[in-house]
Amino acid sequence: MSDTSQRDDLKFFGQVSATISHDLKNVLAVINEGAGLLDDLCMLAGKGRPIEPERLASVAKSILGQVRRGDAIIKNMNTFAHSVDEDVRSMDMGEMLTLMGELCSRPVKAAGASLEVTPCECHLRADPYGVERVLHGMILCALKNAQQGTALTLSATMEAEGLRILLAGLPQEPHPEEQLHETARALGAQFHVRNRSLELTLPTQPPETGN
Amino acid sequence: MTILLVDDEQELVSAMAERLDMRGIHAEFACCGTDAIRMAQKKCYDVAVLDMKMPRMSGLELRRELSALCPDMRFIFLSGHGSEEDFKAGSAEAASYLIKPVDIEDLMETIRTVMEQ
Repeated sequence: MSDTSQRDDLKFFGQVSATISHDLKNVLAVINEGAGLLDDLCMLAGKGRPIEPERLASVAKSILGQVRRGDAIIKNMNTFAHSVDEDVRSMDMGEMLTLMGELCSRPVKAAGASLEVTPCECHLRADPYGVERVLHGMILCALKNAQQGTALTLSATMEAEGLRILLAGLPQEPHPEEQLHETARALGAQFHVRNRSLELTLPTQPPETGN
Repeated sequence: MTILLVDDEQELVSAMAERLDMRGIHAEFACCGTDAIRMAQKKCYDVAVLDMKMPRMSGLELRRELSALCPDMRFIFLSGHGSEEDFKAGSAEAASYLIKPVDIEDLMETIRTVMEQ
């Protein structure tokens, strides 16, 4: 792997990690305010102001909701971190698309767009990290020209020539950077821009690396 | 003194507003830049506490819009990261800068400080 390619690989890992850390910081901030509010209410109760049980329940529910949110973020982070464990493995592509949709939820929201992942039951044997990287690149490419209300859909179907992943709903024809094409080529995939969609066709068997 | 809290995390700003109210500071909140601007068009707040990274309109962009509406408004930025880049941008634009999660007493102290400036 060249120095540039290695750096791009690290850049992708860094981008995803930064998004995760930002999301976790927000979870902690909400929990901090919720716990602080409970503390304040208890202090006021100690001074004779009654606490409404509904108010306590509402704050507790908010904190529990944030704990579940944090747990989901950490599960995704763990799945992402383990994607480099094996060079090639069989993947549930429905789970993979959902993971990448969730890992990209912050940039999607920041762009004022939405991303719907269509359920699928396809499996593919490929490099998980490479697939994550190309999906991440496709989503960011789609967001470049996204507008408020842009509704993107991400789906996968098994075709004769391989697993076809379609990212549709782009407001205008995208112009992917060469790096995205390179990432797709490294997976032995065909990558096309068609009718305001990004289309990736991954081979059912990973390419020989020659190593 | 009236404070405007702006963050896309609704549960965060609603709890923060309630806690400031308990401490004698009236606080109102918005969850996006558009709502914050709408609120500031109706009345001028003394201090705005803005999340730096919000969807569609960042805290820095919102600060410029709010300053145009209320030139005397003071600003405090909130950041999840506390990165060097955020710190420089925040310091250049605002009177103060806090990193999430924020201790309510630190926020109170920062509000007092910016009001005295």
